[in-house]
Amino acid sequence: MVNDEVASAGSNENSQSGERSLSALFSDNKKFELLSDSQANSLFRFFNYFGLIVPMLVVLTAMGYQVIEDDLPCSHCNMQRLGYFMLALGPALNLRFGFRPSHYGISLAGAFFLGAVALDMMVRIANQNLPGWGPKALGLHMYGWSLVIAIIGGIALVIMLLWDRQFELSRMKEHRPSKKASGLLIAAFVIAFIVIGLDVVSVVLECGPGICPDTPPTNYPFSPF
Amino acid sequence: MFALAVVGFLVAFGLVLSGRRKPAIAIAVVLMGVCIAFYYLHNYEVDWPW
Repeated sequence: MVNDEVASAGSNENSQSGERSLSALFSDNKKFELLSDSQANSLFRFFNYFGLIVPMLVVLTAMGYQVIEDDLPCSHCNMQRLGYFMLALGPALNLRFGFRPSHYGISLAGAFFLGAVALDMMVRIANQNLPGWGPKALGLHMYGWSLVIAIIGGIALVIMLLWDRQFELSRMKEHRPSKKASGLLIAAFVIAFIVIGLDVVSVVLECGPGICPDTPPTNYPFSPF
Repeated sequence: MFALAVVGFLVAFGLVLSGRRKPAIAIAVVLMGVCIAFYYLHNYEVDWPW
């Protein structure tokens, strides 16, 4: 009985068209909608493409510094790269299978891990009164950027989790992702595969079969060349 | 050992693209544990900062 009432209330809510008034934002009986369904869906997809590509580009930039300045990543730096990959996995799931809170949860775990490792690195360097470690980009060290990105990413994920409309839209047949991946999505995945593939090569050549060395070596110890 | 974790991410993204959601999430959950294990392993094993 109660379930029927809840179901009918839910269907009424779905059929109700949204309003743009500010009062609708704070009323349980009104539905606040600033954008049309297709516009909102495109916006959510854009944010998720952003969340998939940006962490990969950050890791790619770090790899650029690694190759150009011949500066191998430390053990903490390699762990931060894992955090970036975890951060990007949630948007990848969202774009392929539709928006779900569980997918954002995976990214949130990545943001926590990335932030924790970056903060740990900063505290250890500060404890030793060292001026910093590694190359700087736009005035900040890499681990500094990692902490900034982890905080911004965490806040963005909380906002996305509060935004219920994407989960409602994802249940509608017309906004559900198709079973075949689009060209744009495949292109985004190709970037992800290239970046993670390059990291596999880097880690194999630097760390070999074990964990990564504490002091970054000056050359690749496991390189056959 | 560390390289296996990175390969794990490659596999997870591959599973997502090939349309296998639950295996990808299962690997992601395992990788979360692996990441935390690496963090503690590095803290015990490495003499950091150098």
